[in-house]
Amino acid sequence: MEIFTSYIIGLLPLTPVIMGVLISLLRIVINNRLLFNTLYVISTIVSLCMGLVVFYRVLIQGLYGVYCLGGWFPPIGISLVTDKLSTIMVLTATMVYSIVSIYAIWYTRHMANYVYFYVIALIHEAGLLGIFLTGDIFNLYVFIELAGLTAYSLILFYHHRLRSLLASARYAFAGALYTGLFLLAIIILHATTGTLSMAELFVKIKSIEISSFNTSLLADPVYLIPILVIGLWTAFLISALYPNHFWLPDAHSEAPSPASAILSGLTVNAGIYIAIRVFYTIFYGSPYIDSLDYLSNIMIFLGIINVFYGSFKMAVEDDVKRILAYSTILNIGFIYMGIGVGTSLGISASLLHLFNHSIGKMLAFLSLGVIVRRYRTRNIYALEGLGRNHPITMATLIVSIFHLIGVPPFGGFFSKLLLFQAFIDVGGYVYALMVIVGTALSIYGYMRLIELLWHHPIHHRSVPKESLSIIVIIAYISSLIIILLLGVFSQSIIPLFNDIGEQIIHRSLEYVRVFSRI
Amino acid sequence: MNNFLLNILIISLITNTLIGVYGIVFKPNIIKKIISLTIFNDSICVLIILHGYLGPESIAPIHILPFDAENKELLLSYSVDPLPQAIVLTAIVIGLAFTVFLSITALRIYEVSGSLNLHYLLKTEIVETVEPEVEVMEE
Repeated sequence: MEIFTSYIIGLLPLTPVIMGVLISLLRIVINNRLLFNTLYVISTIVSLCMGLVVFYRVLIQGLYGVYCLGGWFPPIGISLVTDKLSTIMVLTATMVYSIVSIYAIWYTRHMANYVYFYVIALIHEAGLLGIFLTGDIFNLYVFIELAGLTAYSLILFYHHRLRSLLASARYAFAGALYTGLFLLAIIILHATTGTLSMAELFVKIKSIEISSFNTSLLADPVYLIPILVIGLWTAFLISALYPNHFWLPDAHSEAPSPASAILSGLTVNAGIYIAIRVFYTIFYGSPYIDSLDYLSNIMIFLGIINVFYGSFKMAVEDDVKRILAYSTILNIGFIYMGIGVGTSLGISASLLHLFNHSIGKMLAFLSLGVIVRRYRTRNIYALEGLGRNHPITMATLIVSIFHLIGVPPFGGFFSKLLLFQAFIDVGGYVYALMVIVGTALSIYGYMRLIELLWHHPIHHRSVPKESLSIIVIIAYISSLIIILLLGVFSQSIIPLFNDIGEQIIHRSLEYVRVFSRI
Repeated sequence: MNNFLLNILIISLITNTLIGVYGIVFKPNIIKKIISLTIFNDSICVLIILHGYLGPESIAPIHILPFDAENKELLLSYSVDPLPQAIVLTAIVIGLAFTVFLSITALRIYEVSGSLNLHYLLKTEIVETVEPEVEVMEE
């Protein structure tokens, strides 16, 4: 096991913040749309390049990346660590962000306050990348709040609409409450173990001598249980698992379409990442907590509820963007089912599904955004038959939806197959059946959307055919290429994801050895 | 005596936190929700400070005496843990950001709907006068 230290890891969360602040400062002096568009796209493309470098070093060459902030070595200072799990999350985030940033140029072309969208989106990217990279649990809290506040701001971007204000307020109150409790959990963790660094937490929680490290009243392993529960519950809110899903349909449908693509494709990933980190990296295999199996069963159970809830609500919803929002709830259910299996195959299946879902959901929101923006309504019956005026957009929408359902040439099929296989391997035949039943139920909701948009209208409407901007076509083509590559090269992609699951479950001690090698 | 007072402080802080949670969940008025959120955050901050506090005879973690082994032991046993204070500074800043954001949201909600009752607004069917994804024209 080798490590590499590079400024690239430190610059990953820093670049979007610097560019965001630069754009907002430049806006005071000049108002040049071309300049801001260029800066915005360049910063996301630079992030993508850095993400690809980290991907090459970590996933292909098998190294670990560490960057110590301020030159303070852990456990004294905060460090950014990239193992395989965080690398795949960073790659997803930077990839989706660079495509959405190209699309956002087209989307905001008539808006007066487009600069705010760019700045908030860039800082949101910084928050997400920080969540994925940090190796310190309090720093994780700070980045959660950063990503959270910018997410609430993205939702109320149309601040003259009452619905988006209410959606944002509800999400913000829930988020503030949960993250406040998360802060309390962090401080109990500090009182119990005497450290905040994830690697040191790993060692102390999995060894037998917690209380020998400090003399605090709370130095008792019993207090680890509320910390685990609160940490997981916060992760469930961010990723909208069943009892905490209430904010998602409003929030994701009221945001502007590029923001919906970001929130639906990426922000929920942050919650899944936190759940995997807290559950597997820090607590899994601890001698103090013997009820971890119950927790994984609860995750599978809540995941199944999510799958059924999402697919039933999709079938009756009239708002096109809310249909896709419920589809996010559905796919989060599949991902949590994979996490709950507890084998390396289950983890890799759920991570592959997460990757597929991010790309597919982003393309679906971008294509629907074109239609919704042109006709200025989201009601599916008002849009009936109008998809015929948009042949290219409908083609990309259909490809992305087939990708989400899991029709074989596209990548979504292989992740669901892997999930099915993971359940069969541990003997959970009922759960494996649930994967198939959930997928089958969801097909009706997706097909209703396509059918109503494509269905020949009763009244002839004389609307001219679409004339797509070259910017939108670039965004479409790049995401279509990714979707096709995910399907065609699935046999070489799946081993990469198997490595990730293997590393999380069986070789987790390497995460600690990184720190002793610096 | 001191221990007794500290226990009362801890109990009252935990009660405060619970009152904050109650206010955020059950009070319909947005301003009252924001006030409850502030109470909740600040009680947690004081709890964190209390975790680093060692008693009335504790000192700041700065060594003025010559730094030999005996003085080091003295410093370690009497100095306050600085880490919770650093955490609280960050938490206060984040709480401020939340309060500002939510206040502006409340202001906008009042301007648009004329009401601050969040529960009522969430229950009623909203008929939007503004179309979704409306284009805001160039200045």
